[in-house]
Amino acid sequence: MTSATLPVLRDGIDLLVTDVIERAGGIRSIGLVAPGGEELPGFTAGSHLVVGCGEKANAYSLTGEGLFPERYTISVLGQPSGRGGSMFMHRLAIGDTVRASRPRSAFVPVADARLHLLVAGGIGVTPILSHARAAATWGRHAAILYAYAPGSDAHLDDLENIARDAGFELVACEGRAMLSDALAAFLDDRPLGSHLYVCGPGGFMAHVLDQARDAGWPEERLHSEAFSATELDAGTPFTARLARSGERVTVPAGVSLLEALEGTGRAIPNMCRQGVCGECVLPVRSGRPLHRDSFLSDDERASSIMPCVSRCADAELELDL
Amino acid sequence: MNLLTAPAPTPHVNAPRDETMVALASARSVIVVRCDGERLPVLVPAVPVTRVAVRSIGADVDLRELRAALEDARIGVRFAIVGPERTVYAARAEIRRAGGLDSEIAIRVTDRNARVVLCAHCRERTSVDGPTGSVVACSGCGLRLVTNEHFSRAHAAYLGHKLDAETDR
Repeated sequence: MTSATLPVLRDGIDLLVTDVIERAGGIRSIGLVAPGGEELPGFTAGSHLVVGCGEKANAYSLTGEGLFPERYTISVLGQPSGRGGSMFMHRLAIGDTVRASRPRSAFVPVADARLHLLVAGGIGVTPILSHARAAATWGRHAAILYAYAPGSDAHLDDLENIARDAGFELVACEGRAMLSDALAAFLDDRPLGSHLYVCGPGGFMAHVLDQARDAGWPEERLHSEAFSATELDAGTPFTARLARSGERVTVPAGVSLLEALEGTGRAIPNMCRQGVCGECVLPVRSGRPLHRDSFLSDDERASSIMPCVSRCADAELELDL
Repeated sequence: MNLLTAPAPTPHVNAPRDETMVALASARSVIVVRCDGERLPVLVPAVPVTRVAVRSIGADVDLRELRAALEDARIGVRFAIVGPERTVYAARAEIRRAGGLDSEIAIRVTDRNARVVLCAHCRERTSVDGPTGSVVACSGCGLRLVTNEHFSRAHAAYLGHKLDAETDR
């Protein structure tokens, strides 16, 4: 199977590699345009593309601000021990064509925030760069903290330029030793109405979010984006019981709940089939859902499931269907 | 379906409910908002506390003390608002306009029947003491208004419409 069969890529766009920049820390920036040079679909800050990388597909954050783009830019950290997607991206040459999804968004700025605190760790700088550019374009107030390993300060120059032009505070934090102190100062004394956005490695994000909670930040003000895997693991089999008809539907490993329900002839409204759009959400009566979407809120997770990606932690999941 | 009896009223989803004070648990500072002189004790954690008074005059609310406190409010603050409904919800609307979230606001309503009706016809606000369904003369246009279940959090008011708006003449 090649990645071209993924629904998100089937409805996607072909893009031409126009420029490549090698940056510090094994990060490579790639510029992509439509083959005919036409304007590309716009996007909100923090959006990503799913790009077909040979047999796999990876999600890469767009680093631009998204208004009437003629060019998409992404930055890819080369991971020789990874699943192969990033090395595919590092082998691309100017003139090559890739298949990509349309921009997808699961990390949007809060429109009425008084102040946007943008926190990046390592390669997590990519969506934060997009947020910073959009904040500058729209005249929003923002402050940026960028933590990176010594010598791996990719895009720090871009952030410095944005911060200088827009009057944003910028904290550059090299190495982990100073991170807690820098973060404590960064989180302190912020006006009511501030929102925090964080992207980076899992441990980094957990650290930032925990420190913010300890400083009195409620969950609704905390926004994070993990590097999303576009191929989720197959999961364990379970049974879906449909409460209204009493019917039982078996969901084998590697088959989504949505696909299993469709197999019984049911038409479940759906769109992205990737855990992002929220179209397919179903009410849960009992059984513990194993949530793998990036759409539902914590409150909604108590009684809802997105069957396109999520599964069940128990042997049986009862749906109000 | 029985068309002869009126349907049972179903509260609008925004309609006020009884709230708890759990929002205060994670506070780094607290602003206690006392409405219309309400003296109900408020238990707050051992953090810096600011106290402000808010008062209704008819359907208008004097929010100046609260606004001054909101200017200085910092992340980590939690709010506790106590008093009659119309004043409490006006204070909550002001806090939300300043960027506060529901999860940062604890509320205890001492009088549920102290409401404000927003006239659908002239947009004037009229205070009413009574349950939804009460009829009140609009202080703006003089129409007799029915107090609907439909509650607006932003306006901190119930929608009021002309009593006989749906009657043939």
